[in-house]
Amino acid sequence: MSVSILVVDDETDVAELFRQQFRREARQGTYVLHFAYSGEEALDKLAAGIEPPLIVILSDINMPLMDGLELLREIKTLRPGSARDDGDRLWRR
Amino acid sequence: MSEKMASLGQLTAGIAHEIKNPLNFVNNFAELSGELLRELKDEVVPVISALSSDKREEIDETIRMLTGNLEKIAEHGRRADGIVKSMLEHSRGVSGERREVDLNALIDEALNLAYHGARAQDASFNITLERDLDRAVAPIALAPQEITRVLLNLFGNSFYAATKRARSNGEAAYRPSLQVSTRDLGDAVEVRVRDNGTGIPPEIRDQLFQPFFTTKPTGEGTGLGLSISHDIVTQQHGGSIEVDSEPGEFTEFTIRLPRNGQAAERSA
Repeated sequence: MSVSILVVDDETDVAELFRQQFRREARQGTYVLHFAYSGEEALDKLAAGIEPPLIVILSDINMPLMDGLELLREIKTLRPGSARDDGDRLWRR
Repeated sequence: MSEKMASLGQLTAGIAHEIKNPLNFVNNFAELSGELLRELKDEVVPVISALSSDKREEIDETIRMLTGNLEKIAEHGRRADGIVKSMLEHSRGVSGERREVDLNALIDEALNLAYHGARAQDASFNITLERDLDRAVAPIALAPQEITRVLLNLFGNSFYAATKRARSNGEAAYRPSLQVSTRDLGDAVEVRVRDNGTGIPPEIRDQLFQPFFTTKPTGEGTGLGLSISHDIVTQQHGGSIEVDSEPGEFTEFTIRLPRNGQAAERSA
């Protein structure tokens, strides 16, 4: 069974770091990594649909234009119930 | 002067913060490259063993050097990371929460922490600890975390100086010792930390509290410990920190903390 992870960061080298760190899992097909370099791009990818099923979004907070917290708010509006409350509290600290 | 120091602090914090991200990349990629190289090495073992011994040695040496280089990158990356962290702490300035605490208990705790920390790093480390704590000092309003940092810095330096003296010459009768005392001065309290270590030469006494000044070998000290301690005591607590020393005999730091603990004026 394969699942997707979406990584959102304006630092493009983060993608390479994740690809190398999860190289075994990616090779075995355990996880499929997706990358977006801005909050807007992440929303576009989500709207277009991500396959296999997405289990988690890892996002940077400090990004130009739409920051990570705004992205979280957008996602909560688009997909109510998908963002867990405890995670939300954690971010706001 | 304090205005200049404050903007210097902001600049330092800005620089440190900007350096942190690229430095993280350096460290993470170095670590990953080390892993990848180990994997590659395991994969190519059968291929290499089929080569002539000359070629094999050459390849082995290249792999050894690459592995060594990656370790060096990781090591120096960690060093730079430590400096950046200290710089950020340094520029954090007046932040610690102030509350009424038992200063003697705080000292006791810091002393235990420093001692066991030193023992954990070096099992042969030993020093006689003497406490002369005036019961009249407690309680006093201060930022406990910050004062603990000052104490840990001072104790750490004392341990270092005493160990250095114990190792440097053949004084068979030398016994490292550290004395910590507190005294109630009415509107202030005094903490004295005295060790019988190597002492501080008079010519460097003016530089002690300067950021990045250190007498330790490269990589061992950031040169920020006393500088941070000075800021915490003077800027944050409106107190004073002084040093007295006789090379080859002793070093004694005296900290005075006013009871009405007003932080020094600091313009943003």
